[in-house]
Amino acid sequence: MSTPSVKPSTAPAPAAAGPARQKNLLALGSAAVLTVYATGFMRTQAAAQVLAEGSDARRRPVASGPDSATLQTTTRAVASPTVPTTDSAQYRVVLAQGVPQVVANAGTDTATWPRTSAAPMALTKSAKTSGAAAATTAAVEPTSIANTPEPLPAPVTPAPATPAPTPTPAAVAAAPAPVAAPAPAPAAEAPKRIGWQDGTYTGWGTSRHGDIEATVVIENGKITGAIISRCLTRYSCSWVAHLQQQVVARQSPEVDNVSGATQSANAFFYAVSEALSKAK
Amino acid sequence: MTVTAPVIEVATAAMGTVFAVQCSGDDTTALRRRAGDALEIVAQLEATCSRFREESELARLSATCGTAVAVSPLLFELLGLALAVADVSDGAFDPTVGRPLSRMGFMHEWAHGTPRELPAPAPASWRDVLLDHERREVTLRAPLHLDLGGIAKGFAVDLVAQALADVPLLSIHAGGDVFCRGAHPDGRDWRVGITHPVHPERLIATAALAQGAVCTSGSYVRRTAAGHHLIDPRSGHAVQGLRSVSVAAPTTAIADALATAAFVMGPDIGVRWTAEQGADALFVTETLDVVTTPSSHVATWTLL
Repeated sequence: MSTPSVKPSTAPAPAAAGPARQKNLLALGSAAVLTVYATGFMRTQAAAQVLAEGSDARRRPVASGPDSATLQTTTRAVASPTVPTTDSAQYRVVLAQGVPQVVANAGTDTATWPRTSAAPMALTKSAKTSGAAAATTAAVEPTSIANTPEPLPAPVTPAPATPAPTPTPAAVAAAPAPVAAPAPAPAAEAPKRIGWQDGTYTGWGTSRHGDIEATVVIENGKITGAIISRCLTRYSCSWVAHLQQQVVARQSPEVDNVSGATQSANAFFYAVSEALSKAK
Repeated sequence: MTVTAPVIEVATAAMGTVFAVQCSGDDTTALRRRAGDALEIVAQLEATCSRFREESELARLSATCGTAVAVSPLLFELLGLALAVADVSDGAFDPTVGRPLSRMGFMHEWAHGTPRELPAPAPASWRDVLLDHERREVTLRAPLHLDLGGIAKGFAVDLVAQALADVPLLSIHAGGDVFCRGAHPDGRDWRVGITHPVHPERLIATAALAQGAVCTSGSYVRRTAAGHHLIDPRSGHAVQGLRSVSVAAPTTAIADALATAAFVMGPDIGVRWTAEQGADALFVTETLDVVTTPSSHVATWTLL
């Protein structure tokens, strides 16, 4: 159909010229991404256009231009009233030759997404704030300490900049950070989009190491607190605060992010997600 | 770029980890919304390509054998990419786990429901996955199970990055896979820390890069009694001798897959091979010796 751009060497053809083939790998990586969008997988055709252009600009041209132009019209389109028109504006610019059709997936109301947003911060040290979700990770996975380092980004940043770091109540210290972060966000933004119902909600998250129950407090449609209300992991949740500090202490403030081996599920994060789903 | 431009972060839980997008721009409300929208594709990718969900397209495809199956662009492209890496790595990276399954006695043809011995006893491999680009169809020539775990997460990051292609400053973090783009506010390169495989709370090195991805494959997580999760597809055994391999490449999917392949290859072959792919790698051996590619296509390593 419209995947010609990737045709070249993906076929499991046996032998091939070594070098030539190898060079292709990086190109294929970009091409595959473009093709996914170009074939209308994503929600808007317009988006695909933007993507193709953006990518052409910053990457070696991989996908043939004409290819992405041959966009198929996605028929799964479902005009959603919730589609943000403001956003689309950015897309429309490029939409000239595209199909001005907004595709949304059923039930993707953003409110259902356990997103965490950190309060705006000065962009000085780094683009990282990752405090929010990332810090959580560090927080809840006892044994998988292996993973913990990645979340560091938050602490990594000069402590003062990050909203999360301050471990308050001993054990749960790190917990509140992730979700609490968004709270301080300027009232000016986001509230209407999130739209959680005020109240206190609980949710369970599971990991290899046990379950965690999180309690999330919503006030004025925003998360104002989130704590580990029950910790049934094989390890005490008190390790959290300790680790958090350790992480802050040992992490180089010069690092923007951390690459480590695969993470396992973050029970706390899932628990918060579940709690938030009840708050819709 | 204004130094005061706010940085926003949007995160979601998917693929057994947390995907976090950090970006910067003046209209934070719109940016946050767009980042959230971009992250939706991660869930879609998971629903499509998860090996652990019976109803996923990947699982359904895996249950077939000998017939051409039309698949979604998402699965097709990711599978195509995985096969390309398998090809280039000569099977060190292999999106099929046909061989272990074969050894376990799964030698029946599943497509027709009636068990029957397959004529060819040869174990299945990535070579048994045939793609028809015209029709976007996949044919599994042998009974096998597809597993895109070594590349899907990276691909998801790339898809998110692509959806935010016009966002000047972007950093995405997903369970150890890191992608950075745009001029760092401080005017320096991005610095990505590499987790110390023995002391995970510390870093063993950093990678400095203008933009691109850094992914790490390690034997220090996901261990079972039988060993860690990094298996040499060609022998079926857990790879020995290495603790972790980090790869820096322009795109996350490739960095992700190359890290897995390079781990399997080992430092001797892996170093040269990753460099040939236009990527940079850092190997941490069992004895904690560090070996890096001499090149710096994407990133420059600094040992700590």
